[in-house]
Amino acid sequence: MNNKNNIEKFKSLVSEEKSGWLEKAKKRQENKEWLKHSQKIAVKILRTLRMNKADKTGIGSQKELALALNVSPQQVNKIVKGSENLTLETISNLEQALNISLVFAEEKSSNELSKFEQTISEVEDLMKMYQTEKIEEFYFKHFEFNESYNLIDNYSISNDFQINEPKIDYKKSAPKEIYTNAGENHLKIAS
Amino acid sequence: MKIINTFVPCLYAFKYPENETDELERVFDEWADMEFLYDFFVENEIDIKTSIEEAIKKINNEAIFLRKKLMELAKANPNQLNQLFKNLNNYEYTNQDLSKQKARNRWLRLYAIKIDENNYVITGGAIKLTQLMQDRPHTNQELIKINKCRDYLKDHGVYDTDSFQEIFF
Repeated sequence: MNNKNNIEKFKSLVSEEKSGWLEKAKKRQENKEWLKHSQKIAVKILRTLRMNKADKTGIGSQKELALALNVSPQQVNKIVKGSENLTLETISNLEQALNISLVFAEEKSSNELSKFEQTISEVEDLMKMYQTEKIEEFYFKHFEFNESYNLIDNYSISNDFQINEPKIDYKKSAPKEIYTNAGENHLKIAS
Repeated sequence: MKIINTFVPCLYAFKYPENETDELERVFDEWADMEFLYDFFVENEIDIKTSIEEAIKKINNEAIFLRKKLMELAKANPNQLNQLFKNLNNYEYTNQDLSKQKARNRWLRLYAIKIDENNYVITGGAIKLTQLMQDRPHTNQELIKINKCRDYLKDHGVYDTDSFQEIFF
């Protein structure tokens, strides 16, 4: 079989009709950022509808969802395909109808909040370490190791980073001037 | 049955009478359709080790990757389709290819018939979760389509130089 003849025969079979693939590909490429959100929303709606149907609670089909939203079933079908550029109003209506949360901004801010909380907690730990070191430094300077160790153990640090005095009566064994010096270090142990 | 020009040089696609779009456009539409993907993974949950949500995310990422590759090829001159398509039946796959593919664990496939050194015609595509096409009805259906297309070409005096091709990316 002559290859040239073969390809010519093949090309003669090619229709004049053009594929819509490239045009769609370009559009999807341009819109890929919001499409990601639309697709996530669609999957969450599909998951909710399926779960509701299985549990026989709430809205369990696209038809029921269309009724609840007062839109056509075709509109709901477009939404669950994940290719709709949804308005905030539509998203809110979907959230209310299905009793779920779809707004990703909320998720983001809660992530940011938890990051912030994590940072605060790390800072707190560092400050506690710093305060503890200060107490240790102070007591190692003035007391025998065992004694100071026990004393440090009895201190507590409140949420506002104030160091609370130990409940035991350690003052009897410590020289008076030390309590006074300790005051400078915010230890609140001066007599 | 029609053969359509895809805009990617030397890449054509079959369009079946029951569908409104050619096979390249149709499979990419399916891979962007969350309802289709959700139902597909519910049906094939046994073949995935992740949640349906994760599986859909994987398809989305793969589709974006494959789309970019094809868009690059649409601009490429001379055509570089040979880089993408590999013959499954004549050991064109090297061990390196296979291990690469295994490591990447890609699920999306395009199937095509090679007309000559440079020209390919797409017969379909699938989400392939199992090793053999015969293992699942939806991939087995793709084998049937390839054979139908080959028969159509033969009926019109066109002979493919190779066995069917599977896209490799």
